[in-house]
Amino acid sequence: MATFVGVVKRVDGSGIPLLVARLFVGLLFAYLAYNKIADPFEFLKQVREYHAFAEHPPQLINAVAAAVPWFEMVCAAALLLGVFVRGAALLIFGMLLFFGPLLLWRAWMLYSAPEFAGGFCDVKFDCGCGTGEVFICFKMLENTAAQLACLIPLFSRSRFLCLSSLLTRKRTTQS
Amino acid sequence: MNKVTLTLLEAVVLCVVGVAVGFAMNAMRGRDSIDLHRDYHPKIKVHAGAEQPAEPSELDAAESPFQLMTLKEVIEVWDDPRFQYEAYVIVDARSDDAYEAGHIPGAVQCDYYRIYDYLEQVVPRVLGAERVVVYCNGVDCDDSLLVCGKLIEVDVPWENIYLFKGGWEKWKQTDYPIETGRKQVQE
Repeated sequence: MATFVGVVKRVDGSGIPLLVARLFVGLLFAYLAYNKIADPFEFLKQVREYHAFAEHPPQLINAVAAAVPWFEMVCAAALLLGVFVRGAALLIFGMLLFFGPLLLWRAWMLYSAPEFAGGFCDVKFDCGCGTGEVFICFKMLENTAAQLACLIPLFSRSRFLCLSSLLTRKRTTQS
Repeated sequence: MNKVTLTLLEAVVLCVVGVAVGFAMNAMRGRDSIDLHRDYHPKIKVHAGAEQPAEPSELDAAESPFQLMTLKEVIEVWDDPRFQYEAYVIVDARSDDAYEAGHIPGAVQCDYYRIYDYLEQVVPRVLGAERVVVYCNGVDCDDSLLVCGKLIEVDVPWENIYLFKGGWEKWKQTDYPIETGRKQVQE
């Protein structure tokens, strides 16, 4: 056990797992956010499909549709730049935790429809994630991989190639 | 400060920054800006005079606030000489990209979510028309229904409005032509 922990610490100390996790989650979320930003009304329509927010009065659902894509982009940028890495990872983990059950619920509704013929993994729909129509099982795998990847920046002791650590080091050198 | 507190603080800062950036960018986007106060999905009431379609198997026979039109009937409208001199008007309720990629030839665009950019051109034509047929992508698309609701608000008579629920998906499956690009509005 001690050897395993030692190996994990050594691997983490190299900074590679952190860098890979930051790049994977950061690039994925930047891509998804970009697609939502490119067509804000399509995202608004998809948010409505989840019935997770009251449609009347409209201010809440409109605010979610207006702000969430940019919020995702800010979190992705934070991860990629290596600034507030833990906070960004926590927020992305939280978002995936919130939207995951909603995705499953929506897929279940489509699967339960009488006209649908096929297995649960055959359910394909536009989840509003920014990728167009996707198969639910693939989407859940992607989300799970991203959530697991978020755990690395949350618990890693490394700050390899993080802007925040480079700035801290520069400040320490100057003082 | 311990790691948990620091992490939570980072998350709060990112939340505030992210939401602020979101609202600021939304405000600057012009026609792509989401109007926070606009009700984009109003409830549309069933009109007292709404009739059920003759062929319920082809159309969604559930209560529809507007008269429904089958693909066959839309083709008849399109083939009719009255469509050429705009006594009949076909309205495409989809976004720019979808419209330009392909639409019913002669259909005018009226993107519901950017509707105020289109009303000035569309309203004079639909007010003078005997029939206005509105469509969007297909049965899963609400945009045509919402545009019909908007036409009622600008005083287009209910009797003149028809909803083509089969939409672009149905038209594409026919041998009838499609038009791409933007229809030039003649003043």
